[in-house]
Amino acid sequence: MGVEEKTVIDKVLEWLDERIGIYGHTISRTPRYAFRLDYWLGSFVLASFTLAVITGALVALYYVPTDPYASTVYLISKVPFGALLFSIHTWAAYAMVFFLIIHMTRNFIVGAYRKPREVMWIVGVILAGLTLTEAYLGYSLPYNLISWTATTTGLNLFSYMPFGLDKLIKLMTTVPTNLPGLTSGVDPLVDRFFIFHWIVGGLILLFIMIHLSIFEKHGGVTPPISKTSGETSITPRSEDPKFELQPYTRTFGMILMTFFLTFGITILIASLFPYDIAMTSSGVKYTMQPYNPALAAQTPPIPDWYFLFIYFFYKSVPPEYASIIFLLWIIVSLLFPFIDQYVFRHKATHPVMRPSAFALGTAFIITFIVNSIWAYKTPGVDIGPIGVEVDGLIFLACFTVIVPLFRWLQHREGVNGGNSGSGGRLAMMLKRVEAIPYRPSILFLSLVSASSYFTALSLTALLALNQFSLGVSLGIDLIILSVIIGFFIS
Amino acid sequence: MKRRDFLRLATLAGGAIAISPLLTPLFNYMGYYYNELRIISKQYLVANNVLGLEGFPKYKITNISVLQKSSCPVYFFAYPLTNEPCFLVDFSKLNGQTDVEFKNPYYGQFRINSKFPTIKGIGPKGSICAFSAICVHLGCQLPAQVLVSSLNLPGLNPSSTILHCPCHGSMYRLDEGGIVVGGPAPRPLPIVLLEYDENTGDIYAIGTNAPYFSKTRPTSNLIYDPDYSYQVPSNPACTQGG
Repeated sequence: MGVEEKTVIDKVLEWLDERIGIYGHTISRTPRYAFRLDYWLGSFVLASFTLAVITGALVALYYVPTDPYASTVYLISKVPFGALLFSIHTWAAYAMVFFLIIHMTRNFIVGAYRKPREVMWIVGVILAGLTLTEAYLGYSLPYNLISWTATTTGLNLFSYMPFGLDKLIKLMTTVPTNLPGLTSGVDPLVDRFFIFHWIVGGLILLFIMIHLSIFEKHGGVTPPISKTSGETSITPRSEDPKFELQPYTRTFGMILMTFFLTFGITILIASLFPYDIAMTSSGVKYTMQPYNPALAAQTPPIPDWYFLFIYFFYKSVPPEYASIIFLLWIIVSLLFPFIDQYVFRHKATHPVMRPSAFALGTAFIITFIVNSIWAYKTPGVDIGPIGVEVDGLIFLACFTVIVPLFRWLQHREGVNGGNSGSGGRLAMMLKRVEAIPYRPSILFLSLVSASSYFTALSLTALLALNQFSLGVSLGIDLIILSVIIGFFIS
Repeated sequence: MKRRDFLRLATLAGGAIAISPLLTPLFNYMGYYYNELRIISKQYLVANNVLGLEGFPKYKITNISVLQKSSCPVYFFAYPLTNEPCFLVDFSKLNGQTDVEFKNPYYGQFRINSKFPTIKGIGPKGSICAFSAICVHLGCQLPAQVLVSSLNLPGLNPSSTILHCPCHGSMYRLDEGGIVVGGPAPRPLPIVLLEYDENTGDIYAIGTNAPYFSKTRPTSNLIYDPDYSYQVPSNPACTQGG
């Protein structure tokens, strides 16, 4: 590469770089092999968090905590684009929880929590807890029949928590009933939950910063899974092209692409399936009824999908035991890296080298799914001890199947196989994919024109004030844009 | 211990001691140590209850003539706080039982129960009892006014007298003193103790045999749970469900 003359922008950027360090002195470069979507799952979580924060700030402008239901209805039915923003905010929160589960599952499968990333995993689990708390608080805010009943019931389950945790929750949620300015019939706790919704959002941001700074400390992405212990972070290896560190442009292109993709998908879904919103001839309507304690007594308050697995335990066993199971679930998730390292004494990242940890984690994932579906299918009906017995059987089954199977696989493939296993096969597959001829320029041009078409549609919808068709075309447009960026960085 | 480590630990301990006086004000500010009684006593039907379960006010619920006018077997009232729903249940209208008598499930647990080893129905037919309408599991309001034909639906099943909570499926059998016959509830449904004046036909509540949903201080008189807002359904309350 020859020496190029510096442009004005180059000079401005260098001036800034000298003072604040914009050229990523702390940001690691990413090796070639990591340019696959599964290495960027955290970026999807960050993207949905960003979208939720932006829409949340806008939605909050119209929120009145002393009359939460009426202000929600006003936002949805009267405020221009209010219903769309409300729907996007909810779906972005769902997307964040969803991507978080995927991100966590992937890092469990590839063993990314192992030394030296144990603290990063713990910070991640704290982030997961904060995200669920944030979702819980947000769910309560519209103050509709289902959400407020589910919220207060959820709060009451903490009164069975051991070790003084019940008192801690009580401390945070005892609100004087004679606060001035309250509308009669509205629980003063809503006001506090609204503030906590902001505080927890700030805490999520703080912990994301810590999470990312630890990520950079270990040189970015994890090395490919390996059957031998040893390397824990990326070391550039000139002889292997897949380890070649890529320019920052490609990293930021990838981040931009995942952001556009997440924004696009979320906005598209939020517009196609508006959350608790119905389109009627007289305008946009909120479909949920206001909170009313007498009516609430006749409606099973179902929690949102990500809390169904906890709801399951409280339907299955007496609340004291359910609280202990709930706490154990959290503690095992938090300490998972240390259980892997000191209890099971696994030595390498490859799944077959971690039979016990893999069995434990798989059992967690299966019981999460089974419990959620089971609880969803039985609203308001108790499950009984059979519920936790089935969970116990799942744990037992995972250990009896996975541990011997993985042990056998270890011996069959040999421990000293090194990286030639799945990594090598994958590289072969990728090469084969690259060998398929196609005309990128035609595809690229059609994508660009499709993007312009949907931009035009968005503008039309914007002029017609039709918020949900605006959302649909904006969503599709963002997805196409992310594919276009994909062309530049692939 | 090395001198450096000692100094570090001493600094930490010193810091902890220095900020520790802030804890009580912080807790007070957050509201856990609100003088709850002062705020709550306004909501008591009779103020200044300092005797716990034994010091409950005597409160006139209604007159028997009001109950006889309606065919609905349940009648809602608030006791002892104005937002704590309870209900009278007339077993003669529910499934034809008269002269009801059952063991007090909380006998031997709270001092107030020493006077009530068994609980008898009151009224001319000896068929009226009263229960709290708050589930002791996680504090959901019980839909006693919804008469249901199946045990699997939330509401009150007249033939079996089983009350089914809509939240997590706890089931209480009323004609045996609110004992738990299904679901995760950890203890029986509290009973409101009644007194009947045969001359005037007035029905009085004189106490409860156990605290309502309240895990943190079950022996105290602070049955009111500030985390939950209840509303007493208006009478006649009966609806058909399912």
